[in-house]
Amino acid sequence: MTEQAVARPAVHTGLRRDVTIWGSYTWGYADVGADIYVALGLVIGAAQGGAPLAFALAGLVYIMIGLAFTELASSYPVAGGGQYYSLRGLGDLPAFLAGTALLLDYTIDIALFAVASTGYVNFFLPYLGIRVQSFAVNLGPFHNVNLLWFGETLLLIVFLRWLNVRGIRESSKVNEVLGLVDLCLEISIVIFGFALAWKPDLLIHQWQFELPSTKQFLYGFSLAIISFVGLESISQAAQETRRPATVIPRTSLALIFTVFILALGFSTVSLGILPWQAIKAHESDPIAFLASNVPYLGILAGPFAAFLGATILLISSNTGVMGASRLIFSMSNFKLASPWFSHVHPTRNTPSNAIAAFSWVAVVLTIVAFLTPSVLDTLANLYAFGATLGYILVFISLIRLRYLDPYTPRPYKVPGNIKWKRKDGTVYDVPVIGIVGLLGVTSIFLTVLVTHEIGRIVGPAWMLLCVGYYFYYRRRSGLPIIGSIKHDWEAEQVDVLTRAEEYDLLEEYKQALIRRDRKLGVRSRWEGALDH
Amino acid sequence: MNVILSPLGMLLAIVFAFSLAYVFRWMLNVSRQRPQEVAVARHAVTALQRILVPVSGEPATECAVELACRLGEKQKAEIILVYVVEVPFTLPLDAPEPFEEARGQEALRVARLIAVRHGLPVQAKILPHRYASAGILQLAEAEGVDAIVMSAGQPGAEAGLGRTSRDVLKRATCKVIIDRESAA
Repeated sequence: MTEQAVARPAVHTGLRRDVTIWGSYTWGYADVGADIYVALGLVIGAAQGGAPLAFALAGLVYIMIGLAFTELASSYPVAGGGQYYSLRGLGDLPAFLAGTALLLDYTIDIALFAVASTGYVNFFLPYLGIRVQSFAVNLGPFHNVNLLWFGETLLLIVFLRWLNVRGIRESSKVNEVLGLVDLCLEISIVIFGFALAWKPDLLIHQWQFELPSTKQFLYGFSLAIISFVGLESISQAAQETRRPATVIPRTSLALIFTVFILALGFSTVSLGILPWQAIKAHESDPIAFLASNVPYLGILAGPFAAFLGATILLISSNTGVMGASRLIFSMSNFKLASPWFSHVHPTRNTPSNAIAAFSWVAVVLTIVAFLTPSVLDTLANLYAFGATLGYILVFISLIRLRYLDPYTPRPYKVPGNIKWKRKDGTVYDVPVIGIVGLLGVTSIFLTVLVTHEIGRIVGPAWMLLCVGYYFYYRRRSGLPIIGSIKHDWEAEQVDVLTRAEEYDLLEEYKQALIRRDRKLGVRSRWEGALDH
Repeated sequence: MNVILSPLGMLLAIVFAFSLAYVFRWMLNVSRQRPQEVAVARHAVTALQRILVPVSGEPATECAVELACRLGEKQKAEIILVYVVEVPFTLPLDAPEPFEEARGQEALRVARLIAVRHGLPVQAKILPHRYASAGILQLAEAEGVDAIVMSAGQPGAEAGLGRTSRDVLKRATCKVIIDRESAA
C-alpha cells in the first residue's frame, strides 16, 4: 500500500455553524418523514395483516443503524457522514464506496420527492381552472409525458438549489417550520385515529386471518426499511450544527424514537380502522385515505393530505440537496473526488459547486423518471440498494474505529458492549449491537438483491461507473489508487473539536492522548497544548 | 362518520402523545455551553489519575487523604499512600525499625480505609529514607504521579509550612497541593 506525505487537516472549510437543535432534528425528520408517507401503503400492500411486524423488525435494524450513526456523528462531527467514518476506519477506497452508495440515495431523494411534491401541488390546480392532464403529450416512443408537472419539478429543484446556495440557515429554517407542521399533522392523525376510530377487533382479525406468504412478508420487510432511510442526514449537517457533540446524541435518539413509534403507530392504527385491501387500493396516498376515515379529520382529508404531502416531500427533497452536496464536498476535501466540489461560496459559506452539480444530476434523473412508465417503482428499487450498502460499511467502521481510535471521546456510546482487555492494557469495547446490526443490514441487502430487479442491476452499475471515475481521478492526481493517503487524524480531531467549540471533549481527548504517550514512554506533543 | 370509542384505543392515544411529549422535552433541554477556560480548568483536575499522599498517622495527614480522594473520585484516580521512615545516618538504610514500621502500618491502615470508602484503587508503601521530602519526591518520580497532596506539617518559620512540605513544594515537578490548617 503506497502512502503520500501526511495530509494537512482537511476541515478548514468555511462552512458556518448555523444549525440549531431543532434544525438538526428536522434535517433528519425531513428525510425520514417522507419515506413513511410513501412506504406505508407499499408495506401494507405486501405484508398485509403482518405489516406492523414488518415495520417492527425493520425498525429494530433501523434502531441499530441509528445508534451507530449517533455514536459516530457525535464523536466525529464532520460533514460526510458514512463516507467520513469509513475513511477513518477503513481507508480511502471503502470510503469512496460508502460515499457513492449514499450519494445515489440522496440524488434519488431529490428527484423522487421533488416529483412527488409537485404532484401533490397539482391537487390544487383544478380550483384555479387548470386541468393538469391536458398538458400530457407524446414524445416519440414516450407516452403521456406531462410537461406542466415536469416544468414544476424543474422549477422546484432550481428553487432548492438557490435556497441551499443562499445558506444553511435559510435552508434549515424552511425545514424547521415545515417539519414542525408536518410532525404535528402526522401525530394528530395517529392520536385521533386511536382515540376516535380504532377497532382492536379488526386489527386482531387481520393479524390472525390476513397474514401474507413468507415471500410476500420478506418483500414487505425489505420495503419497510425504506421508510427509515434518511437518519444519516443529521450526520451530514454535523459540521454545521452548533455544539454537535452535545446536540447530535439528543436529536438522533429523539428521531430514532419518533420515527419508530410513528411507523408502528401508523401501521397499527391503519389496520385497526381499515382492511388492508382498502389501504392497498390507495397505495399512492395512504395517509390521506386513512385521514378521510378519521372523525373530525375526514372533511379536511383531501386538501389536508395534499398540503401534508407537498410540504413533507418538499423538505425531504431539500434535505437531499443538502445531504448530497455535503457528502461530495467532504469526499472532495479528502481527495476522493475533484477539488472542484469543495469550493465554498465566498459570502454564503455554502458548497455552491457541489449543490449545483447534484441538482443537475437530479434534473437528469427527473427527465429519465418522466420518460418511464413507473417512476416510484424504479426509484424505490435503487433507494434500498444504496442505503443498505452504505450502512454495511458504516457498521464495519463503527466496530473498527472502537479498536483503532479508542481515545476520541464518545459523548454517546452504543450500549451493549463486551469489554476485551488488549495486550497493551487498553480496553476494547466490542459493540455487540454493531455486530448484530451488521448482520441484520447485510441480510436486508441480500434480500434487496434477490427481490428488487432494477436495484440489483442499476445499483452495481452505478457503483462501477463511480469507481471508474475514482481510479481515473486518483491516477491523474498522482494519488494512491488502492491505498490511502496518510492523515494526521489526531491533529484533525483536535481541529474539529476546537472549531465545534466542544471544549470539554477537546480537553478530554488531549488528556487521553497524553496518558497514552506516557504509557509508551514518549513525550506527548499535546502536553503543552493543555493550556490555552 | 361514527365515532368509535375504545378504551384500549384511548389508552394508546394517551401513551403515544405523552411519550412523544416527553422525548421532545428531553431533546430540547440541553445544558448550557461551558466556556473554554472553564473546560480547561475542569479537566486540569480530572487529569489527576495518580495521586501520592504522604501519611504520618497525624489527623492532618488523614485530612489530606480525604482531600486527595475527593479530588480523584470522579475520574477514579489511584491513591498511593506512603509512610516515610526517616532513618538516621548512624544506621544503615535497611536497618529494622519495628516501632516506626508498626506506626507506619497503623497510619496506612487508617488512610487505606478512607480511600477504600471512596471506592478508589489504593497502594500503600512504607519507604525508608534519610529525608522524608527526598523519599516522597523519589517515589513521586518513580510512580509517575500527577499530584502530591500533603498536609502542611508542623508549622515552621516560612508561611506555616513544615520542613518536609516546604521542600516538596520547592522541588517537585508535578502538582503539589498543601492542606494547611487555619491559624487558630
